[in-house]
Amino acid sequence: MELNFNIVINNLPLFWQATQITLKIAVLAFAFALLIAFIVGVLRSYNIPAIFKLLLSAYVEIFRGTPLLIQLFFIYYGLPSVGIIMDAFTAAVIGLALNGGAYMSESVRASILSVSKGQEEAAYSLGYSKLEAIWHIILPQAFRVAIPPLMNGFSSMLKETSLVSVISITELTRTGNLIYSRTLKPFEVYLALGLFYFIMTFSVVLLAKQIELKEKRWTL
Amino acid sequence: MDVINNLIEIKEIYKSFGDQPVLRGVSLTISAGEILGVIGASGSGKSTLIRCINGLEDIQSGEIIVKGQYMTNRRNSREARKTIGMVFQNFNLFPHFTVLENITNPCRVVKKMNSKNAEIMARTLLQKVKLEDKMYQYPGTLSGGEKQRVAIARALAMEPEIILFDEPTSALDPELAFEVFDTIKLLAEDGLAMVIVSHQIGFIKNLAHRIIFIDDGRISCLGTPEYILNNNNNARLQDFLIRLRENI
Amino acid sequence: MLKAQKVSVLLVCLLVGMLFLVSGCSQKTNDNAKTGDKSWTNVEEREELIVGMCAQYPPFESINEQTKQPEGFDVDLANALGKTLGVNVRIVDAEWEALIGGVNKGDYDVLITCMSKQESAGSNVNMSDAYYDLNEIIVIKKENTSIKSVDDLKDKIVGVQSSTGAEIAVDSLNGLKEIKRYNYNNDAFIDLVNNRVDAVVVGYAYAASQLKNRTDLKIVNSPVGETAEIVMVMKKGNDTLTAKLNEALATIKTNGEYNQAYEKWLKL
Repeated sequence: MELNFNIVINNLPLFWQATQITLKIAVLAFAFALLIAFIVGVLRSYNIPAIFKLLLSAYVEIFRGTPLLIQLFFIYYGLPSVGIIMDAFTAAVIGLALNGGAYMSESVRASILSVSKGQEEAAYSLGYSKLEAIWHIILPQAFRVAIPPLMNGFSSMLKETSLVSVISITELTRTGNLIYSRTLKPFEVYLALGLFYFIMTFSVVLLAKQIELKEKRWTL
Repeated sequence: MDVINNLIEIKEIYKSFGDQPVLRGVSLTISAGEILGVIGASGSGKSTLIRCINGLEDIQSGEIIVKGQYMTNRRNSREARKTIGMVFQNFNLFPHFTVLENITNPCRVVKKMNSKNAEIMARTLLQKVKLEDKMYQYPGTLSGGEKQRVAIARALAMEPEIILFDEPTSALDPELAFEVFDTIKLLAEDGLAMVIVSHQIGFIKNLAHRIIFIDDGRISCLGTPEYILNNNNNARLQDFLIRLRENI
Repeated sequence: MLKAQKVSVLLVCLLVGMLFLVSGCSQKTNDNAKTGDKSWTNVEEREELIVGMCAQYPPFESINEQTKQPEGFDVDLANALGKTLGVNVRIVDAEWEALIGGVNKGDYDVLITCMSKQESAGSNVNMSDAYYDLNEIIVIKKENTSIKSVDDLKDKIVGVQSSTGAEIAVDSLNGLKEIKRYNYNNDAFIDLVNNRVDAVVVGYAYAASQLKNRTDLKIVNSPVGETAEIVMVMKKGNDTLTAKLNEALATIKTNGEYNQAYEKWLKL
């Protein structure tokens, strides 16, 4: 068996292009997922009308209880049947964001519940409104608890972007497959592919460490 | 009825947690500048009483009137809270803020002060509780007594007309309790009205104008410290006082 | 010390053993190559041509739902060849991956299974003359009038199933706006219907079998990329059989039997 890593070098432009697509999808989807997780997580942590509560928990349970692959298929290939047609990139971002948002909203909720009841009471007793208390007092403290799970969420999302190849996006994994089928060098191609993903997820780990370190300035 | 003098009026309030009644018809009037001590056994309802005054607990029936305003819903109880400060047993400082920010943040958010005025206010108050040297530290680095003094300064920043103290020294070692007592004394000298729930009879009796003894969800006895501690013929109160002295 | 010696003796034994195995293997192949070619004589004597195929590629070969028998262009072709050669034809359905191994082992005399020259090139086998030129072709929406040939795909979004000949063909085109790669042709057709791609490139065979009943799509019969030459595949060195089959193929191309099969299965 002769290994030939020139295959990887020669295809670097192709890999780089695909990495950009993967990153673009992951970052955009994560931003939206964070927004969803934040809104859903906060709403589910407080008393809201039962019908909203039901809707939100239905959303979370459905998206956590079904495979992302099926969600992507449904959004991209299924929805056109009822007249909702979007391009693959939009569908990928929406699918990943809804899926990630459902998972991450649970992390947000758990981190909000981890902040002691006394914090809320102290805020109310000082005259903060509910929203002011959430924004200034509860969320900043919940944030520190939520960093590790949210960063995990981003790592997962990066890796899950490989699934969007099923809706015809030529991202990193699909590009790897493509190069493999052209070169028939699985060892080199998939090793490189793994390395690219690892570099991305490991950067996220480093970033998370950095943020955590900054948040360690205060203790309970 | 003198509206100006009656800061807080409580009329026949009932409160229960599930099936468990905690307050069973409590009526009480607190005047401006008055210092009221609240004593009673654990679980008698004394903490619940001041949490109801401040709207942290809903009541099942009765009325709470703050400066002539009925506290009936969330909006006006929030309004009333601006008159009422609260100091908790567990301090409840905001751990993610520095000592200074613990005071400036509510000033900016609740009182809509600008950062500069908020900081001036905070510095003045921290000077008053003798903690200006710790203002850039996080609460996690302070002793219990220091935390409670910051909490008092924070409550004062809202310029309340009354402060409710919910067992402010129960979580502290006795030697640290004294520095908190000294701070509370300072407020008394300023003429601020206070309700102090505490087991520290020795402290309360010197400070309070009146003391109420709560027993089984009711005000069982009310009077001057002298009356409560020496001249009453309430058997339950005497039992309570004896047990308290034995424990100390 | 003793232990180390034992280990090294063991290693040497292993190495020597491996060498014997390797040389044994190569010996065997050499023997086979030297044997006289009796491939046609064998078929003639047993009066039966054994044809291997993977019956999962309509319209070339598939299993008929009712009869459970293989049918398709390759089946008809095999039968016509057998008739011309004066032997019976027995068709054996097998896994695609096992076909080349099977023909080398002698399980089948020949593979007639829509295998292209390119596909069998790496396997060191005998190939017949090409019996069909299979192209990748373009599928578009019925109402589309702007795409008439492969040149019109310029600046268009083209869908294709990944890891297929069609993908290689599309990758060889220049000036496309975008290539969208799908796991299944059917996904590509959904996107075609929903206007998310302008055209889909698929193998002719797939288009011929799948688009027969569809009214919303149509085929532009303009070959994309290199043409795949479909050949019959035999064991390396079975030259007499190869020659006989080439002869028979030429015969049925002139006597109309080839055309009959073509009209039945492959005409659009």
